[in-house]
Amino acid sequence: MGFWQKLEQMDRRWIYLMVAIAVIVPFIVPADLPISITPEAQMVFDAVEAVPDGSTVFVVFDYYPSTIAECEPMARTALRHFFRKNCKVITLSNIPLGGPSMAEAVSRSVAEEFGKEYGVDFVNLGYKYGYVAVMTGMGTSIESIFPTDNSGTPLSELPLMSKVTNYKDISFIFEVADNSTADYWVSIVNAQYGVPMVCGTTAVGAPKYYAFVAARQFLGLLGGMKGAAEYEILIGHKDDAVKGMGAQSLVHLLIIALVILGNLGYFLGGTGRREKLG
Amino acid sequence: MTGLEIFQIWIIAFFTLALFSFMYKDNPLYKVAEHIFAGLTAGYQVGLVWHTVILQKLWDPMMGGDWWLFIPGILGFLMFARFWEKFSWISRVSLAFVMGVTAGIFLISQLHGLVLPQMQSTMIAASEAIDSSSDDFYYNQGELVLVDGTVEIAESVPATTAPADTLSAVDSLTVADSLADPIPAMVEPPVIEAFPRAILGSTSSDRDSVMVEGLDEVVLRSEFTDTSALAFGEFYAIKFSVKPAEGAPMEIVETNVYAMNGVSVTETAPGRFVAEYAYNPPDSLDAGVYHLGFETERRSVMFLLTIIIVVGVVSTLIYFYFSKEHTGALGVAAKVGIWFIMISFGAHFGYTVMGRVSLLIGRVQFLVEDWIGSFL
Amino acid sequence: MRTTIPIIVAFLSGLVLALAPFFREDNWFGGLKQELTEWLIIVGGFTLLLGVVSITRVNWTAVTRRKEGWGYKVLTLVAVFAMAIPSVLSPEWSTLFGRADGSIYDWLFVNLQSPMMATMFATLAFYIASAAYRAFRARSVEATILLITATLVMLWRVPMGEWILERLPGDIPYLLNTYIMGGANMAVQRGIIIGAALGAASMSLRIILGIERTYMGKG
Repeated sequence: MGFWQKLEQMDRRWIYLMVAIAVIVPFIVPADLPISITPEAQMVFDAVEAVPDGSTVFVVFDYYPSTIAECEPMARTALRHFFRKNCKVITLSNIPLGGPSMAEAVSRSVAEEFGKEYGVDFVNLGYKYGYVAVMTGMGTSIESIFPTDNSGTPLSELPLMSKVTNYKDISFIFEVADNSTADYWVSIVNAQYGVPMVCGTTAVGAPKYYAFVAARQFLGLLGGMKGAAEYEILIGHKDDAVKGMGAQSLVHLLIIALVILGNLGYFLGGTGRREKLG
Repeated sequence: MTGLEIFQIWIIAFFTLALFSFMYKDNPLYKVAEHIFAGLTAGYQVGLVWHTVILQKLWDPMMGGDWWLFIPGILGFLMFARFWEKFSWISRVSLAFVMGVTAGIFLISQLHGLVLPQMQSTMIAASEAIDSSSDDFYYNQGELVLVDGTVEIAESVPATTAPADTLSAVDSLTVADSLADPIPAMVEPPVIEAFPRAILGSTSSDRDSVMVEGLDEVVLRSEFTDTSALAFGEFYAIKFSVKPAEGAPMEIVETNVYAMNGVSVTETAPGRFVAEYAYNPPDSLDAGVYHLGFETERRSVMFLLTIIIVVGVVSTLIYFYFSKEHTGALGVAAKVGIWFIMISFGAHFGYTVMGRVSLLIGRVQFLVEDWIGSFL
Repeated sequence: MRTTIPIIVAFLSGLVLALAPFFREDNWFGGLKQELTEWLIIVGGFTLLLGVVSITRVNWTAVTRRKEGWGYKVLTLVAVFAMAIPSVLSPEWSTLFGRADGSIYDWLFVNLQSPMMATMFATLAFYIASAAYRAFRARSVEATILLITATLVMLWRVPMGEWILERLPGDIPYLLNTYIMGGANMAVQRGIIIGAALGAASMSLRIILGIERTYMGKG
């Protein structure tokens, strides 16, 4: 068996090991890599900057714990950006698995950094089943959909919510999503109620949402951990996403090398030639 | 770190490694973790629905007087009828209600919120490619203050945006007498930002007029960002003007990014432009305030990108949604569609790799920083 | 009756919501629409419980009949009840009950469920690397287009890769973002969005009109 054939039939666990090493090494030997800002991330930053200070905004936690590594840095950075502008933040989630818990934990920890008070500066509405019903219903009355916050406190007892009736009182929506709920925020809320919005999404979802950016339905887009890293740099608070860029770089280069090797093996090892010959 | 926190980190690390162990081969430890995970996932939803739906949306409001909520309550319970074959048809009523309401919302929102805006965006791009007239007009201005022998430039002026046809809008701005009196921002947050800057020079005064010495030229520099400039051929007409506070402009230079005419314009990064114009002041100038006007006009001529977009959208729709046999002209269009789709799927694959790797990074970050870090 | 009543229910409820955008929200029709959306939240909420009951039944049956791997299924059942029972008990009795910070429910979510779910998905990174090595071949023109695009995008989206691209002639990162992501990719995604949305709208109309009945199942 020739070298290329051996290479083609390499045990997959060697590949797993290489991937593991490529991810671990940059955490042991960190490197400060220059991270460029894409126009879409700049647009997110500019759009949030343009929200008048003190406005009431939504930060929506539409992601599962599975994508916490990509989405949480975005949500965290968005909260920092809004709190820095003294915006009043209302969080909610359409995800029945962990969404409201993550919204609670993240919003409370970021609020603590800024000395923000629950009920006055931020509120977590939590979760209600059926995102289309929730999004449609909040157009008339947020309180009728969420009679209480995530902890069961009636909205009438929260000072921030006394000023908020429906979307008319919401200046901006920052959607962080790892699934198609972002589509419904666009088609139901942005289209029918005209609330401007941006979206931070996983890398898997990002290519699709270029269409929403081009149609100005999203005023900006953060795609995956790189998008989160760009946003962290833009607000001047480097965090987990920036830290992850070293490992991200190394694994991408490894995978590209594997693709090249795989193709070399395919063509030089005879499999490709055999396939072409039929 | 408290004992509980250390215990928690070890628990998380144990189950993380147990799940990763499957990468070597299937084993009992992995199975234990997998089954516990499945159970917890199901259990989480019980707590969530109990509090957010049954208590907050059904029980409490009913006790508060909204007695009619017993109707959706019964509909909800009827869902469980599907566990008994004989009565399972009853659950259809509940399901039909859920489907009906959802369909009602979808019917309009999908057309109004997705189909129309996406088609509109494609058509606008096409129409802009045909009509290259200006669509947006942004202006900004700085001030050259010539007062008793000093040439200065007013501080960076807040960026402004204004509707088209407002070359004269420069006149309507407040004339600043001092540097401490900045010109207020006009309207709306900026889309294009322009910060006029100039090189300072020195002058000597002769009462009413100023002799400009050692000032061969004033470089008027306009830096602007148009992050929405995603399109090839999206060029900028930049008008530099120098005029006294009153009276006719002394000079107006019009140029654009791709046809340099005495103005150097460079794109320093995608969507970021720097335009410089060397202004040679006349030998003498009257003392006073001079406006340096920078007007940036975005002209969308998105030839190439528009062609890509229109051809891409149409050929994709043809490939995916025309069930007629792909032969002849339709076949050619479908073939083009495949190429476009391959590009998009390639991009998607690249992004998917990125996403999956990010998730692994998250776990490794925990293992290296939190777990190993806790005992190092 | 078994199909007529559901069809009437779907028709009436769908009609109200479909017409709602054309009416003011503060009149009786707006009120009706709001009531129905709230009902959907309640009725739909039970569907989540349906899934839990189903999982519990399947696992319970496997345990009682001592099917293969029943020991693991005991763990699943224990986990379901460990998470569910304390969460539905009143937090007034103990801070360990309910869903708040410090409860058993929250502890299990933060320290077990959430990291395990993240790990489950993190393993996909290994599989995708292996798949890229084994299956990503330039077998045809189309496959080559896909491969080249994917490779360029992978390079572009990371700092080290971008550094490499910047050293090549032409502004490749800019071209990638403009013509690949914002051009060809955007066009295809737009085509898919338009098609899918038209499909969803027509399916909605079929459901409201009672033409589409597959959701009811057989019988």
